[in-house]
Amino acid sequence: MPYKNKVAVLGAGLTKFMRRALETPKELAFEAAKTALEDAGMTIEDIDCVVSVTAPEAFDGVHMNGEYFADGAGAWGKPYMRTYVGGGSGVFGLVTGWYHIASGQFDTCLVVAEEKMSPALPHP
Amino acid sequence: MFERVAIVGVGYTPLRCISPEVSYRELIFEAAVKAYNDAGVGPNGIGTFVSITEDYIEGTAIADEYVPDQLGAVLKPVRTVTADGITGIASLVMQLQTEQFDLAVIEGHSKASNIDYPAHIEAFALDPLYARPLGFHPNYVAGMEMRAFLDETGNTERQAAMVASLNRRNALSNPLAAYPANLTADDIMNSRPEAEPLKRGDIASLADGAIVFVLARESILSRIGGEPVFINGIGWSQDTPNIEERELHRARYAEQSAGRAYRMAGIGSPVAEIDFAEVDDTFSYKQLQHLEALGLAGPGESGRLLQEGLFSPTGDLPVNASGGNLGCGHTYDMAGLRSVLEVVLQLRGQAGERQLADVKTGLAQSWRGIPTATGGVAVLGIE
Repeated sequence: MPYKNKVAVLGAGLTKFMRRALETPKELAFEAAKTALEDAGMTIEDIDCVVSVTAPEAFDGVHMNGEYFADGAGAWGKPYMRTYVGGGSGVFGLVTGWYHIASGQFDTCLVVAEEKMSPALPHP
Repeated sequence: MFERVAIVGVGYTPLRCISPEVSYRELIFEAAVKAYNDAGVGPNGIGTFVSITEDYIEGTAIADEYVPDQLGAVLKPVRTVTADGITGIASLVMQLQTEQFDLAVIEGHSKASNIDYPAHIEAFALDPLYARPLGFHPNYVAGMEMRAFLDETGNTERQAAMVASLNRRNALSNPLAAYPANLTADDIMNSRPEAEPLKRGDIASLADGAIVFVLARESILSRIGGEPVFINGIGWSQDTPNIEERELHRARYAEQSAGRAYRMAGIGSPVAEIDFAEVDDTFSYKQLQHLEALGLAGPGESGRLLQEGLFSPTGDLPVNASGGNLGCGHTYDMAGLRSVLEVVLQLRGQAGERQLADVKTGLAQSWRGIPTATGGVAVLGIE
């Protein structure tokens, strides 16, 4: 299989880590995803699939957290998978993105790791 | 182009309304033992595992921490995929296709009977700023969608009730089913109104159970036993989490997933090439909506074709011969695995009393349930 050793990271984005961010999980995901795409010189249209990772739902206070911020992660109309191994999810997102591409099924993958441990209210 | 992946072992418990004498871990263990026996491989040979769970449904955070023991997965790669069963299978298909592993295992389970107030849990999946504060029962989302679907397509409430009646009666032939019942469309139409136009009989009840599959890459099949069923095409898709942004009458996620799965499987004409299907029917109208999204019925045609018998077990394109979620019980994200399980059993000729004749290609479709617009499609075949 020719793809195993030919997967590269093209861009990365990071929001400022802070307590009580006023942004919602969707907005945080969007900010990081947008920065990463700009860094890579790509747009969301260039992305074949999206992987998201986030730690326990209880931190964000929503059920099905992956579904909730999928739009901020650019997943509209795309194959989208949130996978999770607790606190190790951040690194694991890269692993998951890797096998999306190393399998040969997709050419590009956006990996979004999100955490919002303070409530979204009273924003907006 | 891609090395194919096959399901080589299946293990499952029957679905039940309640299961007070076993824990969810014991349910998984039963399914795992059966799957390993069926595949003729032991857990030592398995390279990677996926567990399908959602924390709020389990009542435990990082719930997949509690699955390795009963799967034989201790000290091995295990992860949660918070998605429907078919998307979980897709995750393993990709992992196997990297050639890092030869064999993989997926588990899905439901201990829904542990949940005191499912609607309260489900409501937590609504947008916390714009939707949840309105304080409505989550089923209202399905009610709105049903109204939009019926208005747009011309299918009728009665045709949706016929789906429920047929699936509940199909379940009478399925020893796995939790809710077999001899109900008529009238019985469904006269049941308690829940979320206009949904009635109680249109809504699948929750059930407990567990399912485990063993998967293998095609190139190593000669080394192991089991009866392989090939995953010839698989697709999964996210529409939008925002209810107000959706074209409510359409199951776009099913259209998109099917498109990818059909392309991969080389299916040009679904109606001609798919022999039977297991599609999500968590709410009765969803079966009609999904059949149209999958291209197995033309727009507005699914109700009429149902009435004409096309989708009954004796028709040309049997749908939900297992009884679907309405007949078997709804098991949240495990429902996708249950649909795939039925397709596997039918293709292998192991479906007992409900065995369909002459089936070579089956389709399984899943939906993640209220309030999502997310799901997957798998096309499976014996060759």
